[in-house]
Amino acid sequence: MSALLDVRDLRVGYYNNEGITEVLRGVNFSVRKGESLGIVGESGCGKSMTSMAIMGLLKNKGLVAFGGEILWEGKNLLQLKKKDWRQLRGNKISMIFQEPMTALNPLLTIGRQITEQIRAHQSVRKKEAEKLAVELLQMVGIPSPEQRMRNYPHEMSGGMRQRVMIAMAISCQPQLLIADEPTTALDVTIQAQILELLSSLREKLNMSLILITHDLGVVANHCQRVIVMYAGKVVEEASKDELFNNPIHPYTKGLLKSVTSLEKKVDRIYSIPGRVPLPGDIKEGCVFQDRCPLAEGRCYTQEPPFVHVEGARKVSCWKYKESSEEVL
Amino acid sequence: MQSLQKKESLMEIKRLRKYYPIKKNFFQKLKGEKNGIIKAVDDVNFTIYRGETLALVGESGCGKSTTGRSILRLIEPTNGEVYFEGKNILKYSEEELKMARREMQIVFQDPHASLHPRMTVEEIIMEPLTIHRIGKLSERKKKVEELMETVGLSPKMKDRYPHEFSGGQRQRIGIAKALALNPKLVICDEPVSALDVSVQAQVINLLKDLQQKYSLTYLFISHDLSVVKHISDRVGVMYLGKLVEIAHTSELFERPSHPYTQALLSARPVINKEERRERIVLEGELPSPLNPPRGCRFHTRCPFKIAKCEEEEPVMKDIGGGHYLACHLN
Repeated sequence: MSALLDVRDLRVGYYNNEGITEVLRGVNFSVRKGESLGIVGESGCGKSMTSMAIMGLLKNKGLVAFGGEILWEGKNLLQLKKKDWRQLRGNKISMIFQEPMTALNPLLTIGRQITEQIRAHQSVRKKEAEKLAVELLQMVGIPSPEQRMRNYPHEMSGGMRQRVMIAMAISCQPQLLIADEPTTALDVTIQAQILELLSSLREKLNMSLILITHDLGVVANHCQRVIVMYAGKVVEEASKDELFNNPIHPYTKGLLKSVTSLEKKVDRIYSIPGRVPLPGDIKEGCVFQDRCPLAEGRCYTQEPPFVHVEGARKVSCWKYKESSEEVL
Repeated sequence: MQSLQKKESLMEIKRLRKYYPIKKNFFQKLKGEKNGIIKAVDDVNFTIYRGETLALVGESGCGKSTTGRSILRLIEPTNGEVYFEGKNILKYSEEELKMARREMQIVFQDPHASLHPRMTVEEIIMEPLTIHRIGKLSERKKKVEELMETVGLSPKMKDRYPHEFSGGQRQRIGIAKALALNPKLVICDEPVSALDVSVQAQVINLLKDLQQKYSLTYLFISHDLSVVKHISDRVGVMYLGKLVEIAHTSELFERPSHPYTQALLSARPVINKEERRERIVLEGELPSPLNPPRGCRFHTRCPFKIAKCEEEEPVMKDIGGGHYLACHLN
């Protein structure tokens, strides 16, 4: 499978009084055609910022890309002009956000918002766009779509609004859909519906999906490949089964252990000691050194490279051999 | 886990109701819309035993938080009886209620919104002691330091403001404040939902330790079934203002009997393959509480509904071993 999107050594941060604070400090990964990639990590690890960078939305947030490249069909997205972005954003790459409540305009009907999106990218008449919009609403499982077209966002529930967002995002048949915590604001039974919908649409439209989430359970059920981020770096990359059966990086291990010990009935839940370092507060050496049970010697002085181990798997850890032998 | 007979009840909730009137304005009335009532909590009965953790689960809008707040009278319930150690606290006067609240405290969901931004940590934790005029200032200060130690915060940080703390630390401050008056019952309203996984684990462990140390009773309100499975002894499942099933945790997770509980459990995204169930994806969404379905409130989404479900409202029945269920199918 060929790579659709290739992120290489991406560095993003912001200017402050003392200079530059880097938040993403060299992010590497690629997305293949038609696959679903999960990005997991805790809040502040840079998962949303990565998606902002791919969508070219950094400037709106006061962020700057200091280095690296994001390759889309051979073009570096970081050097794209505003005009070129219009061809790409919403058309080839689109995104759905966490909060379906704030991402829709409260003053316009659902129908108006979807047709606007369609007509911005395709030269179709209003009538045709409306017909398309109804089809899209049907596709995302909204009952009686003709009537729903005339509804305002506040007349719909959270799950329905998220479906509308998805309908808008797929209106131009994008090649890549980025879903940034698409179900965090929703209830479990609705979450299940939305995730099933995303998976089936991905297959039907043959698009790639980046699913950004903090919930390892969601990844286990809906992704093929996973990257784990920690403090602005990708620390591990593996196929879903490899990652859950045999995590290598001590951080992934810790994270999995705390989630799975929740699922089993044990006396104490495992928790990783300490906390995530703040951006600008990162020491020399490995980012995970303070919380790692295996850290020693060069973990404190040298940053571990992000290297291939066992075929397609990649991990950024000096002690990966010891770590992979240790059983959970 | 102790058997039910040995357990002594700490709080009994009977026929608890909280209705909110919805008034329509002049123009809406012209359009023929009528005033309505939202039945946020409708006829809920359960008992909390001393020393246990009872969890209330359900989706947003099912009335679990309203129940939690009503039994503390933070929201005045419309109807019902709440017995705390044998006395109906809904009949209490202001003064009596204030005394009773020493025994009942609450930890809120959002540690960012529930702490006063312009008070130092010391002032925040001391506030309940001040209100109830407990001890001299020097004693209160000492107590605050002790409390900070117990919840795992360094007393050196007592002069800091809430914004200087992380989410997990703030939740610890909230817990310290709730413990200041040595309560018997602590209502935890989604205490870990706003936290990251690894921090969640720390706070849950802390809550468990404190329960043992001070023999606390928890009413744990949450939508996260994994957390609930871990922390609680018994679980009550709510749907649209009604309690539909209540059972011991292991019993409920192994033999969920209400179709809604089954769907809720199967919708939970889990990692363990053995734990994964065949997914029951529920059709449709939560109906509006303004106009709840007749009969069983779940019948609009229930995959197993029979004719009776649309007509008659099921009542809570004991199906053995302290497992109560409100469903016609059983």
